[in-house]
Amino acid sequence: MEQGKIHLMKFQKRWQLLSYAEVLLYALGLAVLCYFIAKNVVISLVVFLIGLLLFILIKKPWQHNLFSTSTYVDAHVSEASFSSGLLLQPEDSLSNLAKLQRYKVAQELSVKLGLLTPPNAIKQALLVLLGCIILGFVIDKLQVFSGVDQILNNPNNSEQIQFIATDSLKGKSLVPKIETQEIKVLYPSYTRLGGTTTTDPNIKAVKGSTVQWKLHFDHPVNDPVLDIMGELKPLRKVGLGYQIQLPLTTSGFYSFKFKNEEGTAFTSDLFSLEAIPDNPPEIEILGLVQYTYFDFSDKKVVELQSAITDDFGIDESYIIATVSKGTGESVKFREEKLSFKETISKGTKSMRATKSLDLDALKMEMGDELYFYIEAFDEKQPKRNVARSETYFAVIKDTVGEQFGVEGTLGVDQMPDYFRSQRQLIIDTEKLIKDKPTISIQEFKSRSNELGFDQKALRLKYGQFMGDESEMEEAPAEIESHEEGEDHDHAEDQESMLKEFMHDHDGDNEHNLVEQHEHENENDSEPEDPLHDYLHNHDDPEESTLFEESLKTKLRKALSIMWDAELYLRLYEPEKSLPFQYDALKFIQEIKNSARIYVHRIGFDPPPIKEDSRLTGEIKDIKNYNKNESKEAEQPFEAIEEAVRRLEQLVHKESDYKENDTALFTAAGNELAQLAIDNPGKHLQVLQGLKSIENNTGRTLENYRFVQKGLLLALPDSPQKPGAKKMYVDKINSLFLKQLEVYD
Amino acid sequence: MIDGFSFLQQELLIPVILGSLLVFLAFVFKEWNTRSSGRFLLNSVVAFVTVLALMCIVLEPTKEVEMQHQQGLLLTSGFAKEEQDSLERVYKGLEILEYNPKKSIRASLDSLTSVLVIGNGLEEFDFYKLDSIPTTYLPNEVPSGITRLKFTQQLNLGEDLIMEGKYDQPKKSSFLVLQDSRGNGLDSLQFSDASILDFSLKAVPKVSGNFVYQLAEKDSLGNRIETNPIPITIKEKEPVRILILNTFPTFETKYLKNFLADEGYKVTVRSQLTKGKYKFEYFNTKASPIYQFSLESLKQYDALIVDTETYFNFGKSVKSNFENSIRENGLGLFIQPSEKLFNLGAKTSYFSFKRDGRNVFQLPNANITVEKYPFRFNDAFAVHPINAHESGNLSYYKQLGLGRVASTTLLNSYQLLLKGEEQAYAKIWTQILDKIVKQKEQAVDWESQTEFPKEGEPFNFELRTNLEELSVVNNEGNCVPLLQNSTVPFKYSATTYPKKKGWNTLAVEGDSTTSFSYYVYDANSWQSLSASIKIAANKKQFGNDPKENRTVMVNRPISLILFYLLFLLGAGWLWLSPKLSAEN
Repeated sequence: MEQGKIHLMKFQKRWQLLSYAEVLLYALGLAVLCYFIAKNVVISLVVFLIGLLLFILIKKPWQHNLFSTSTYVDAHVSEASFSSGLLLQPEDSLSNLAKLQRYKVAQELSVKLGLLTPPNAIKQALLVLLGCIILGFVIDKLQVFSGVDQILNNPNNSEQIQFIATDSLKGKSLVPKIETQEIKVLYPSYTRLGGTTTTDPNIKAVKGSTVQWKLHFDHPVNDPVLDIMGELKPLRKVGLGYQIQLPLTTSGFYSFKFKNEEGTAFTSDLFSLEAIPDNPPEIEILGLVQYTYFDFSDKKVVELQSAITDDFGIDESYIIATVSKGTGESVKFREEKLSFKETISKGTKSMRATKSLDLDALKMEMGDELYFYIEAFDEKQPKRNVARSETYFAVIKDTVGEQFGVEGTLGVDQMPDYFRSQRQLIIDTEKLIKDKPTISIQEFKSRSNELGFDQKALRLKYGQFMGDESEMEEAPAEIESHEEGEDHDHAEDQESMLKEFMHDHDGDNEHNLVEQHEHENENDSEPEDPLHDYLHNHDDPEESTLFEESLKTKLRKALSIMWDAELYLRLYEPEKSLPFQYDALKFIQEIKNSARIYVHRIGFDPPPIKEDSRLTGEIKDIKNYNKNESKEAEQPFEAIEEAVRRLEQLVHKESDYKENDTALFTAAGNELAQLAIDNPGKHLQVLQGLKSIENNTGRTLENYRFVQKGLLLALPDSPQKPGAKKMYVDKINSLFLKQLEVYD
Repeated sequence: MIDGFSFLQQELLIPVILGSLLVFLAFVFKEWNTRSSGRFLLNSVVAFVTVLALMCIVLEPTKEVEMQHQQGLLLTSGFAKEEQDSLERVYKGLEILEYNPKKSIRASLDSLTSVLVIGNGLEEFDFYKLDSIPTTYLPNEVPSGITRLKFTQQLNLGEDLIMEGKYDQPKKSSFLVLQDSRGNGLDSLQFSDASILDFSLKAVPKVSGNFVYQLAEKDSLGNRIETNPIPITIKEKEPVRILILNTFPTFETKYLKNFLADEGYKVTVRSQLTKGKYKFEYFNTKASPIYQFSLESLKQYDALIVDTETYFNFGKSVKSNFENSIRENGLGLFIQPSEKLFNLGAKTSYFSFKRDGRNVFQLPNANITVEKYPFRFNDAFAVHPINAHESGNLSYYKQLGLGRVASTTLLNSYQLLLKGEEQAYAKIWTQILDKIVKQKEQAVDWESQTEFPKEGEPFNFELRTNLEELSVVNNEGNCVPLLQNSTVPFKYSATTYPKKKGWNTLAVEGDSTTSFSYYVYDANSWQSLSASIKIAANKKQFGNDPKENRTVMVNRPISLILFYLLFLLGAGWLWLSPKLSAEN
């Protein structure tokens, strides 16, 4: 390459370099200024880089190419005779004169270009840098941006525990600061969480954790204490710092207090301490209905599947099974603890537990019932949490029992025995079918009809338990008319015959109607008589609350089935009626067995009656009875209310802060802390405000307003309580009131 | 002074007379030797007239003249400039006066034959200034904003603070928010259209004391437009002493007595065990069994709760003791109902009932049903519902002399407690007992007569008291003179001038328990409300029909030219007179 072009390129390089240096100086100046303001290397580094990028983009040093260089050289070096451009062109394409000129220029430039400096503003940039340094220094000395520096240099400002002198007069004295703070939370061993270290003084941890605070001060301090809900706990000196370790039992608030060497007391802000309770295990029983019924001949096995979960680990879980035998007063219970098929490894957080409960293995017989539930414990210390599942029922149906037995709990026999039981009806019907060939047709029909009536009576009686007046609405109307029609036909066909052996209550149609009517009347006038006092007085069957929902539907089904059974009996077809009767019996048995659970639930032992003094009418041994009791009216927020009143005066500047106000605000703070115990975060700021009023760092109008607002919000609605009002008794009004009556 | 004449320089009168006399005497002395010449008398008369003219020049005499047409225009706050201009065009020579309650305009009013008032009008306490002048008031339109307001300034803790008012031309979808003294919202409403709107806001204060609640108007975005203070005084109720008498222990009484005892009240319960034997329960009070119900023994209770059986089985004399205590001492009696009560006649049972067949009742503003007897109270004279605000009242009371008898058709109210509805239970019984308990006597009853007391303006109040020789002191410790009512001797009225904004107190000297707090408003608060009140008061005072001009006598100075001429002539004559006599 030719000498001249090389020189030009060198010059271009120099130019670019100077431009870059200029940019660098500007950016550096900016960064230095930032450092002085923010006192943070990272920020000034970032500013430096941004500034560099920005100035480079402005200056664009890469734009100084050879052509612009040659133009510059042409403009500034007269020896170049505006011909430096020739140096950039290939020699071959030039004319001889041009070649000559080119050579000349190359010669000249090799000397001159060394002396020529590219255009630059280096000096200016240096001045800017110097100016920035001086400005920064001045700012630093005058501490114009001291706040910025504090905020930026304490990125964890909210976490750093700050101390304020409680006596503002001595506030000028040296404030010892915390150099390092370390808060270690050790979770209870059973949680298997180990421990964590944090600097955030607002602590949230599982109940039972141990919290350890380690504080290092930059100056010696005296008697540092931890104030936790008014309880003062001194910090132990360990090495250079102080530390304290406390178990986390309840939520609350804490602050640190100490004195410096001059005896000025300092206190920190208030921080929250939140204890998260360990939840008891959760048990879910999968795919099992609450009531399971077995016939005696069935395979009586309940497949129990359950899912148990806990937040930290399950310790133990088992099934509690209770077998109840017998009815009424002779009911007996037997309880057994059964373990699951799977063995429970301690500490699993969730598990599936299964078990097949063989009712035969539990030595259950007909009519016996099994109640079972699952109990699970977690590993919480010192006392384990326990959870219980709902109770499930498995019943072996008993079809042998005879009487409907609600009376076991109610103590009153609600079942008059003038009507036959369903079982008795079945027996009679079966007997009738057996006897059919041997008896006359008239007698057969008569007996069938009689059984039909008994069935009706039974149905009506059960209907009363449902709150029915007389007939069921569900009864199919056309069947009834059909039945009556049938009856009517019979009556017409065999009038003479029927009259002989019909019972007068059912044979004659008119008579039947009248009878029916009478019966209804009877039901109307005294339907509630036997039951009125024991039932809720609900006429609507839907609202009857004697039985639980499933029982009611069962009873309703039973009643509809009884309708059918009665129908066929009345049609002299007892064979067809029999299956319905069996169905009805089955339902009634189920109802009866369900009712037995009440014995277990609401059993009551009356105290023994002294038979010798009973009903004698002697009252000489009866004495006046005196009872004297004092109750303090609970006013859990008395101090808060007083503080609100006081703050209102302070806000309106009706009086100045007095020394005994401090005690009031302390008391209000304690009450608020109690109120906030479940949710320390919510009232933390108000509490801090109260504290700052208390320790004379925030006795400003602003703070008074803020605290009063917070207290008003925290207060619950005022309770309703009766009381007398103060009134001026006006003579004229009194006279007026007394005169009022005269004209009444 | 001669009728109709006076002098402008009244104060110079005596020195000028003395001086003139001296001048005249000097003239007489000087002219004494010429008395023989015969002109002495004439000269003396002329000199006298001259001195008199001189005197008049100095004293500037005036003469009363009748004025017929000198109208004034009084501009009060909120007047419209256009109105002023058009009035000036119609009535030539109107004298414009600006009204300022702090400055007197009396002097300028004296010469006017009638006055027109425009704007929002004068303050009520300045009405007297226009007493003697025929005044016509041309009222402003009622401004937009709150133009009527009613709220309970004094209430007891637990009672509702109810604010009712009227808002004229509200901005659409702006809010009205009732706030406590620190701006926590308690109740609010949004205006759905821009017309006159009656509103009602309700809140239950949480703390007793003097508080300045606020009524804020906010636009639809929640920006505050205006906030006005609502000063209220919240008092605590006084504890009560209650006696409960039952024929047998009931759940109703058990829960009621627990409710009362938990408040720390003195409760005595007597329930009969058998003939002549009782079960006594004392809560927060010393044991003192009560068998005889004399007037004296009943005096220690504020309210009685007695079941129907016990009360109506009392003998005649015992019952009259009860009734006398109620009538004379203001004792409250609550009769716990039973079927028997509803079948007694109105004469014996105080109330008459009508069967309504309903056994349940839904409490207002709550989804709670309670059992009740299938009866309802018949309206009768002096029988009132316990809570007139709510519909479907179950409890009524009857005024009996100073006291009250109450009963209810509510049945088994304790079931509310069992259902966990403690608040509903407390509310029902608080309302009933509040209405009937004996009221505690208060020595002084204060009543503010000024709606919006302002700094430096008169605050009128009335007080009723049985105290004799009392004196009332204000905030600054100065005595406020009281004016005793001539027909009602225990009633006084007075006026004081509050010197600071905010709460001021008045108290009977030497007894701080009787103090009364009133709030002195900022000049800018409740502008539209006070303007509309002022307009109404002015309208009432002046009316807007034109009135006859009055005749006003005005002292007009007599022209001094006459005296100058007289003086010149007199002096000329006195100068000429010696010359003439010399010639002779």
